[in-house]
Amino acid sequence: MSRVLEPRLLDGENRLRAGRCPTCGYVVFPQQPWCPRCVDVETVETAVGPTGRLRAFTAVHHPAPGARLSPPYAIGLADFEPGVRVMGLMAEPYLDGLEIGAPVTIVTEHAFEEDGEPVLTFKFRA
Amino acid sequence: MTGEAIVAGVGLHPFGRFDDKSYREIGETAARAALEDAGVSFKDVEAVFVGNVQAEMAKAANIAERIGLTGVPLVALENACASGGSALNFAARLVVAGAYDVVLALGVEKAARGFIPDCGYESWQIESGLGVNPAYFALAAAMRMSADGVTERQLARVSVKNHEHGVHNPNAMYRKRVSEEEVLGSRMVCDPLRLLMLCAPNEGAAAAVLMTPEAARRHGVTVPVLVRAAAIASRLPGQLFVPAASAAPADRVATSTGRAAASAYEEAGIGPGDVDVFEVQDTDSASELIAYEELGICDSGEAGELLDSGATEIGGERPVNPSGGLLSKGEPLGASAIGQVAELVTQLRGEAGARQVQGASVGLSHTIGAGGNCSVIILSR
Repeated sequence: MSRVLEPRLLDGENRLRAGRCPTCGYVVFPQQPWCPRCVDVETVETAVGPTGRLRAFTAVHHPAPGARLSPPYAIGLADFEPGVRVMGLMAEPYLDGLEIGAPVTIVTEHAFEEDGEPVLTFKFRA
Repeated sequence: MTGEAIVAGVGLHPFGRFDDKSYREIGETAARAALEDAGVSFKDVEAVFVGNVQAEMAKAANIAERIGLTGVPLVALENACASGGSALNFAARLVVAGAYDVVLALGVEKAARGFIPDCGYESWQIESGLGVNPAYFALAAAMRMSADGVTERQLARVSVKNHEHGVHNPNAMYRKRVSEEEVLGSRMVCDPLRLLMLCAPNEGAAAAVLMTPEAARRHGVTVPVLVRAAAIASRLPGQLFVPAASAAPADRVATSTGRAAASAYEEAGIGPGDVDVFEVQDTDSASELIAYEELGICDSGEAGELLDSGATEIGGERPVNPSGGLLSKGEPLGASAIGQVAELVTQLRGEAGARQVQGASVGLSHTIGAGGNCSVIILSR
């Protein structure tokens, strides 16, 4: 059976579960109960994605401590409505064809294997 | 500041790899060197603040035990790469407040080779390969390249400059010149950052003895260096920094470096144009360029031009990292900021030899670490 790495991050429709402050509009991902900007205002759960825009990307070439997938893989920063920039794995492990400003879509895909079963996480597909 | 804090003495343990030494001995060496430089005994020290990230519990006591167990307050502070700056900040503020006459601020680290673990990421970030410090710096570099036209060659040039400075620093780990070609030919770590554009976590220590002006006179301090400002700013929502998973969708947000610098300049009653020598957090080449802008050394978008003009070399108008920076020294996290202070004091005393910035009388130390905490310290003769 496959499992999602951190189910609270996704809503099952390839949208990220973030929190939006009803007072200042700040969007925090992952969602947390209180707005870090207003301090005493509670956030409201807000769905982010599935479409966004790629602001930057990089490829990791060296294994990182605790990572359960092997390089090379690409990490992207993507901007989404209603106003948040999120770091995530790119669905493509290589940088060829990736362009700053390209539209991206959130997908739920294989990140690594655990006891022969796939573990999935959110990624950005350009 | 209401009262004043004088840096009466500084000392270092070289930065490098010392497999045969524990952090206790490394810290002890720097502490003893600073005490000797200040002309005081540990018996005169009324409090000790130790900046350190990774060592065990009871670290301050374990270091003190090798010097003296005098029962004074011993406190270790962790603020990632700004730990040492935070220790010195607290030391300075308590001297200024009149709580103590003589305080020792010590920064020490024995960091393992390679990527720094345990930087505050959540487990899903780590497991899915997002918990990678250089990736954050690489993304920042990529954004500057797309928005401001910063080039790979400019990233290489920061490393060339700092390695050139480091040739003249006997306490730096990497003391060989590197060429632009060597930097551009070094192994890619996270695009566009290559191995020679990234600092190496390593081992070392630095210490400073702070005193009230009256205590400094009493102890015969001949070249008093004044702490003009000591600021710490933490991250506001919106700034992307290790280990955050998200940020505001904007390239230019208020950053902790900008805010700590503004607070420090205001406290010191000066502007960036009044600073003769800077020691900044060159975790990687792009971070140094970003610091040029956020510390107000140049305007937004002009860091590459400033670098290319030669202004930030020793001998230029705005020398940055005459010590060689983290790129040449390596980065023993807790020790970095106090190492910068030791360099600045040496510069302000006119004792930096081949690294000397002529006529340096005002210096600025800048460190920023995981969590986005930034320490800025301004010193003057």
